[in-house]
Amino acid sequence: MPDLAHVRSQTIRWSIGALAALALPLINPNPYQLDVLTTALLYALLALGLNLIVGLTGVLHLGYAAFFAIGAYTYGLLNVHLGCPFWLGVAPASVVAGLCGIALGIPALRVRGDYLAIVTLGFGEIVRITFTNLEAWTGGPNGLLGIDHPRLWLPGQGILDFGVASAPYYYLVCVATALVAGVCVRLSRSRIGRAWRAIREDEVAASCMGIPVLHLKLLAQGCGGAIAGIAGAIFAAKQGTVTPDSFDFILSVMVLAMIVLGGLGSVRGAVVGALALGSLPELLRGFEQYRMLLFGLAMILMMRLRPQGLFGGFQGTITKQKPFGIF
Amino acid sequence: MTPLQLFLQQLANGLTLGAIYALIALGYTMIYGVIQLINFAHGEVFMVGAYAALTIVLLASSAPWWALLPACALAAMTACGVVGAAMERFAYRPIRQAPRLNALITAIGMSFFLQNAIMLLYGATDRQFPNPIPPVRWDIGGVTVTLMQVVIWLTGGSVMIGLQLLVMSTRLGMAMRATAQDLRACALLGIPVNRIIATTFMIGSALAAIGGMLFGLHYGTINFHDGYLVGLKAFTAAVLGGIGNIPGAMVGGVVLGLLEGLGAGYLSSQWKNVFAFVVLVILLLFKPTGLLGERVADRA
Amino acid sequence: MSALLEIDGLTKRFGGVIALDEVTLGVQQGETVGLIGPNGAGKTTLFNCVTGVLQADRGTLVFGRTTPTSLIGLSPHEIAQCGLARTFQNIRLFTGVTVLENVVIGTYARTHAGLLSAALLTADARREEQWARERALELLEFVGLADRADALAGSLPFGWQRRLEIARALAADPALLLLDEPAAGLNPVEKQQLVQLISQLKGQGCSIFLIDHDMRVVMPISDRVVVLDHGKKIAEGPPHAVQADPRVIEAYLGATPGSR
Repeated sequence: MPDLAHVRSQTIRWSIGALAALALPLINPNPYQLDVLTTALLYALLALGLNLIVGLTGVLHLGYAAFFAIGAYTYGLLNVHLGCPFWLGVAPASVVAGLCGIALGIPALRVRGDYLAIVTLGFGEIVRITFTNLEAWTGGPNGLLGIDHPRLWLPGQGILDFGVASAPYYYLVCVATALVAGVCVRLSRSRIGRAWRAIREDEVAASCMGIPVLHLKLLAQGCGGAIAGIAGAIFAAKQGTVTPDSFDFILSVMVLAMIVLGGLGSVRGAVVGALALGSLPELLRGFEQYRMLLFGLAMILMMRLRPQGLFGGFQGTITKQKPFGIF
Repeated sequence: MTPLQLFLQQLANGLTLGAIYALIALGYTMIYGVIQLINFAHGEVFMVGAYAALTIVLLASSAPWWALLPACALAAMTACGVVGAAMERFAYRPIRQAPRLNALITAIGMSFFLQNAIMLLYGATDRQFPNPIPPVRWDIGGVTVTLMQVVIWLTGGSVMIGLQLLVMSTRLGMAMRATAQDLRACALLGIPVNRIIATTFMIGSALAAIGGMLFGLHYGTINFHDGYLVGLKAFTAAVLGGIGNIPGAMVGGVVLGLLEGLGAGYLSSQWKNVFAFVVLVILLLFKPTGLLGERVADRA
Repeated sequence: MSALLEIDGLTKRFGGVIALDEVTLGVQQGETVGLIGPNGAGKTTLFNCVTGVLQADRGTLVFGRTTPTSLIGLSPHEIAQCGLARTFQNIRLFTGVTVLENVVIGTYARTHAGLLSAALLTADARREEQWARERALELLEFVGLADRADALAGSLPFGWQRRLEIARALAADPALLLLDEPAAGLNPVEKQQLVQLISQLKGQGCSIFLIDHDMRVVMPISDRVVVLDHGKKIAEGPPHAVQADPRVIEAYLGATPGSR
């Protein structure tokens, strides 16, 4: 039986966190800071998705930005050509990105570790360059323009167009991140999550325990892709335009660095790592030139000194006392 | 120009490119051979070589070209050798026993670090690479061959022959081959594996350095970002020939250069880079052992 | 009594080396069969072929008493789902997770909760989790690891790791348990405890197929012993008959019982 005391304290912690997050724009309505946080939370979404693939299942993926791009372009194209509103467009963006994750995985996963990383890198670049070159469809290097912002009907206020205000996007991303994080925690503690960890630890042994390794790896790719798709749709709706340059190899590496910093496999770590690294570009405003230098150095040092990241290493998700899932 | 002449011309161009790719590919293949690491930063080492050569060319621009070029080569090789050795000693050696993802991240981090360092030192814009070689050209049956191309072919060819001799006929070469086959056994037999690995890095980096100098000569401009793209193409060449296989890297480089040279005549430049990535992906998916077969240690 | 596992004419080559040469043997329901032979005889290769880790070049593999299924061409996870479970010569535990989680992972073949059930945390999923955890704890109790359920699997001493691997294999309630050198690396006391453990399993009606080098482990618990040498079956029969068989003694180059 779930330990009720633990569930109660968990509920309280979550409620406090939720209230704090929701109250922030009211207490400190600085749009610039909210924007930074929103960007960092978008990164958190991406980190959560990649965490499923790399952190839990152990599949080296260097082309994650491609799924972000696919989600963004899917919503963008649906909106620009078919007038599809944001709330209807998120689902197809997510589904298409997820399916692409699976489709890319089918050939790629037959290849061994190091090469898999390079293949995913190759795919990522091919997707980006293809989006750049298919000018008639995607607007080429200048990107897709004129994408609608989300519009929400609020009781008493009529239709609110998110426009370029910061607060609505902040709330949107908060809710999205919370939901996705919740699902990820549940997945992590479930039969599927255990199987993913088993695959990461020892594929052969996992297979002999009845775990269908290839199917689950594809499932991880699909889920990771779908999450990136959601982030992509939100990103496209927020920016109003989508340019292929936003989805380069450096983005893929940054998200990877976030989950490594947070600790591979840890949901908490993914969010914390993303918030830390995601707000860094803004914090280092004056030092833009040195950004990659410091970033590279940080990666080297981290692997040398604390490879398990902040919350990584031992993940005791099943113990005698732990209750299952969230709530 | 007749189609045959066009073909031969592209062939000549492709061979030039191929020599450059081969030199860089050798570094990838040798390093992968000894420590099973895809040295992401190798493309950046190549750039260091190009910029080091550029520095000498600018400093000693009045010297005669046949003295200037060897000086450039020496400077580039020294710079890259140092960078390569430092990379191995401080970033890669400490994590040799760690899981693959760690090594990969370290290599990527090293790549970013070097790329940014070059940018800070030399600026983010394209730099002109002056060509000290006199513009002598010969017309052979309608196909133009420049002195520079000949220099590149001869340099590339002699370096590769030298390497092959080193690896096959010297004690050092034998130790390198043995270490690539079974590191632990070599260590147990008293072979100084750390020194061998460091030497491998230095040699690989020196080769990339020469590649960098030739690259600068051939294209006339260099940019700190070139390392990434050229690096990936050279890696493709290494895999094409069979990773870990030294003659393979030479063959792979030349083949890739030829493909790109021929393709440039018939494909638009926009799709050229996609072409390289597509070749890489198809290779890894369907023939990862490459043309001549890979030579990697057994990881039981 | 029809055979639980029927191996017929199984052949496996690695390049020029013939690892398994027309091996034919069977394991009956409820019996314990010991597989012995000098190093390199092909014992682990046989296990790997049976469990799908390797694909045999020739021969048939049929498993199951009530619904015989051919195992040829199946992947390891499909074979595991048929009801075979195994341990490994070099111990392949999931060292980065807890002892308890290792065994719970073992129940994968007997549980069904998929992606949706996990995300929505349905009542069915909860029930399965409950069942899996209780079963795992039972098995840990059985092998004596219940008090270390929350320890990291990689932190266990070697002998206990072997017992954990057996618990994990049992978690899927297999019809046939394959043990690959379970006694390797254990001290004499641990070996005795292992023999006791396997005897208990026998007593519960478990069918066991066992490889080991130590005759003090194999002989007491096996109903039948099969001997492989250079990929060929050279002897088969009750333990004492096999021990006295001159061909077996010759294959071991004069090794006497219990000399390891």
